[in-house]
Amino acid sequence: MTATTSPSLLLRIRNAQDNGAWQEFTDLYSPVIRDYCLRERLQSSDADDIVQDVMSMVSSAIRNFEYDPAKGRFRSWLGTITANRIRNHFAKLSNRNHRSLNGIDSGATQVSNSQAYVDPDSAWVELFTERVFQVAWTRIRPEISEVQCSCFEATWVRNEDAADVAKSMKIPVHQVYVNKSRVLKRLEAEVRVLAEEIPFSDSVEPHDGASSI
Amino acid sequence: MTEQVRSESRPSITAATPACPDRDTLIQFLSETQEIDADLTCHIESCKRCRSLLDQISESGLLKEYRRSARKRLQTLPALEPPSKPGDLGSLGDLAIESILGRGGMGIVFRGRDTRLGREVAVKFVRPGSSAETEKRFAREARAVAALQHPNIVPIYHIGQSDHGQDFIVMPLIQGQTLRSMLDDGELELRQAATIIRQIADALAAAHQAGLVHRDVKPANILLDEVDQHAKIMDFGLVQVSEEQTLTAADIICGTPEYMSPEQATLGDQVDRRSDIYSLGVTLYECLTGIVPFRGRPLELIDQHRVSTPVAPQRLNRRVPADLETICLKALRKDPTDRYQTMEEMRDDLQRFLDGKPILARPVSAAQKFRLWCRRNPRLALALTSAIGSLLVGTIVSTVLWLQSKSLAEELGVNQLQLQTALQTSESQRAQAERRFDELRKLANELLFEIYPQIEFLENSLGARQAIVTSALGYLDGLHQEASGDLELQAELATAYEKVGDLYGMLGNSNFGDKSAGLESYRKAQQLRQAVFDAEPNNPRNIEKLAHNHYVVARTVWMTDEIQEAEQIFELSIAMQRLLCAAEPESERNQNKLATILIDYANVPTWEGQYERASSLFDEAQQILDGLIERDPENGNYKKTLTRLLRAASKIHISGGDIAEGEAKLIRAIEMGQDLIQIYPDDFSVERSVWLSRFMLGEYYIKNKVIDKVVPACLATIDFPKAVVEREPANAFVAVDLAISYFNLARSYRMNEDYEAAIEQTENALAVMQNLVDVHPDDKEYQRNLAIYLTEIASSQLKLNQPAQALENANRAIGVMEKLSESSSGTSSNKYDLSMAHRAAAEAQYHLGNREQAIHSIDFAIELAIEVLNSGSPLVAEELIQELTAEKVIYREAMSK
Repeated sequence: MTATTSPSLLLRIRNAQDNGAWQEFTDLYSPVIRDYCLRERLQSSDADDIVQDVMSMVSSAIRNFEYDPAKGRFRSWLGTITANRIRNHFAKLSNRNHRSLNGIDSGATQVSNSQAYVDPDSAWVELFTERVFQVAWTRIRPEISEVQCSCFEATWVRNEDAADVAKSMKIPVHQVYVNKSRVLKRLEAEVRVLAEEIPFSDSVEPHDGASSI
Repeated sequence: MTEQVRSESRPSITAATPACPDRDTLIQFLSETQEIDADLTCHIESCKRCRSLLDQISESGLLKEYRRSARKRLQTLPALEPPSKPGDLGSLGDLAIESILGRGGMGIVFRGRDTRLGREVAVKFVRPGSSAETEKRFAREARAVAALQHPNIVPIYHIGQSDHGQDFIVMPLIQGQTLRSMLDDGELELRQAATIIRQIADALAAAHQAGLVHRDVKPANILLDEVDQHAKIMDFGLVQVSEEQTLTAADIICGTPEYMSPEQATLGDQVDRRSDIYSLGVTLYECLTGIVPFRGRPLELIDQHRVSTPVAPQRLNRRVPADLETICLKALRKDPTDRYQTMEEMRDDLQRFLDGKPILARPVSAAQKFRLWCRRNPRLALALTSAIGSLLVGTIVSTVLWLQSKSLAEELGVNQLQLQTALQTSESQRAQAERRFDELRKLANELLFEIYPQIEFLENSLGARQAIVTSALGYLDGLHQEASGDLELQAELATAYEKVGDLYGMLGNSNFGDKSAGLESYRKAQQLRQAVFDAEPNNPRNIEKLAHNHYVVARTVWMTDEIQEAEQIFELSIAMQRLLCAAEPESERNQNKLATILIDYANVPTWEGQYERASSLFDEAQQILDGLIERDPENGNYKKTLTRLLRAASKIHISGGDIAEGEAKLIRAIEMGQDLIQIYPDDFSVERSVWLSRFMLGEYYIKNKVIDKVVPACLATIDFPKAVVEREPANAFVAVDLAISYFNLARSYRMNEDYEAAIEQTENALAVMQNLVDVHPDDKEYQRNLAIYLTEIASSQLKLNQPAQALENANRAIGVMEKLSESSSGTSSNKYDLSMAHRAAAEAQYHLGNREQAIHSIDFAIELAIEVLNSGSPLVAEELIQELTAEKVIYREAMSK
């Protein structure tokens, strides 16, 4: 039994009919792009413009299958577009006095077709993962019991020893592992839905429970 | 000790011992569908190596880089400074942190020591706030609480912030336990509970005066101080860190939705003091009944707080005084304006109750209740009226019957118009097939699981209830057509069908007494359960559900006399239940269920006279139950099952000849049942269980001719079914109970040679049975009983020297029986009964002087008795044949004179 069967958000936004998906997508990633812009010392109004631009570029790029998972992660792709767009913005600012602009689009904002996607910097990675985690956690939290949550937080987040956690929560040790593992699996599924992350080889794979009882 | 634990926290993986499972087994262990293996869990408790391996396996590569984000957002264990004394966990300025007192969704609480003042303290860390506004509010509220001096409020010594920016509160370390743990231990007297709640109300009144709302009143936040014996409330609103005005799902979960007021979910922090009144009401409710008014998943709970009416505490605990219930329900009103308006009012009413004075709050009337319900549930009210309206011609008439209140009917009449309009609008919306499907699904579920229970115990609601079930069944059948392939839907439908089956004909519950309709629904459920099981045969829940379905089907099939088929299905059910027990060896519930099925199954061989087989089944069940009761002596469920076993096993003792043991078992079953009535007041199945034990004891005395005990034993069986039949005239099962109770009472009088009383009681039985025959003309069992009663009356009339009346009744009995055997080949019990009727007729003819007729009839009786003999009931038949032959001799001699 797999933990989830929801199609990923990236897959859903390809479908022009799925308006909810696009709304979800922009709700999820606009704050990342915006915060990144602010970190790059852009004015708030400029940041809003850039969010708009990046979103409209993503929209067309996704529908035209320009994002190629073979070349890197979605996170890096989105980061590259955003970073390029910001670079372009500064370029325009410095050129303002020299010539008038015709349109916001320029070759520099596109991701080159031959390049592999690379995260612009660690700040981007941090903002992106924080946002994805926050949204994923908010979504799955209602399905997680208090005890599961405490086990998860103590063992995975705070790296406490499972035996200690079991003692202070007055539950058997194996239950701590089971609880942690369930939350992780659920979280992993949700993160995958939001960011279409490819599983790593050493991750816990969902099992089919194929053994007979 | 702590240091040692710390140094062990990341051990390297050591060599595997022979007892260690392999990696795959551990991976399986963590997967959701895996059964829990008791040996494995024990091993994990003690094996460090396997635990390290589990640590490794349960890691997630994908999430590795999300861990930092998680830590940033969720980190609740504060980074402490190094301990100043070995053995401590760490320190925080002048505070030495000794150990963890507890942890929960909100944060972590340490036991600590103020090294400068030398006092014991509790240090509570608060989930990190994220805005300046939150922090300001935290400080503001802490200041306000610190300013409150009240014997029932846990004071705040100090608030601070760690170097890592985490807020903490320092409070005195109180010796004692929380109300939560007292409730879990179940050691709270009602008066003590009222006193605690009154003290907390007083504390909250003071807080409200100071402009503070607690927002998180619940048993876990109430401490009982062992030193001064005061109840104390803690954690004033300090833990609420939501920045937004409305709570997000996660915030709600982080709180305690069981105790949350209906408005808290929508208004968030903006609630007023009446929200605390609601939460205190929930706490009081739990003190009175042992359970919170609403249970379920967090998001469902919020809906329930808004919509559902709590079950009256008295129905859960009969000892709850009416005034205390009224206070509790007043605090629990949905609309804040309906509750106590101030905490002082609630406190004063509690004080009045404790002083034995009349309280000011008034209970809600039935009419108000229904009106409130309609207002809160416009959709449900719509569903209810349309369900009834679509089935019954006179909606208003039936509603009037149902509600039994004219003013209420007028009230409903007004609603009716609004509802009709709403119905039309919603009809046009339902044009889309997809939506209609979901609507139907919802409607069917609402009808069965929400509306039905709401009116289940309303007087005269039978018509409405039947209408509800019939229309729900209609919806279900519609959905059934479209359900193939959708497992979730199939499971949902199966549950609904089983519910319908229960409502139609589950023995031991209040129902409509229609076995075949019940069976039909159970069978529809069976198909669906089977399909779900086939799709996921390793899911324990699927096994459990299918086993249960087989069980109810087997029981119902057995009641319709298809013994062999019933046995097969019982076997299936037991096999599946054993599978389930093996899959989940820790589950006591599964064990109890297995015992229950074994007992019911054992009834089949008991019935067939195979006592040894029955006995081994009972022994197995008894063993299971003894184990369960030993582990959990307070659990009423296991005692319920044991009562059932005692009763069933008494049969084989009595029939097998160990009469004293049988009697003792029945008497023990009655006593245990009476204890259970105290625990489960107003529980139909418990009361019927006592009735059944009493009935069997009476029957035992009749069979063994214990003349001095038989009449009181039989008299004791009348009250319960009589009361139920008066309340629910259409309840066929209990009507049968009543008829056979009357009949046995009649037999007991006859044994004491009080024939007039015997006739009177048999006529009572006859009237009840005639009623059943009129309503269910196709049920052969009812007709057969009719014939038996007529024969019984005839026998008593013969004793009273009324041969003419006796002959008439005997002939009526024969007429009924013959019509019966026309449509069926005639079972041996039918033949036995017919033989008895002919015997009575013969005796009547004899007394009337018709000797030839008498011999003719007695020959008939003998012939039938021989057939009974040949069909496998030798004991009864031989005795009967001897008696009949003796009688024939008398008649023949009389003729020859």
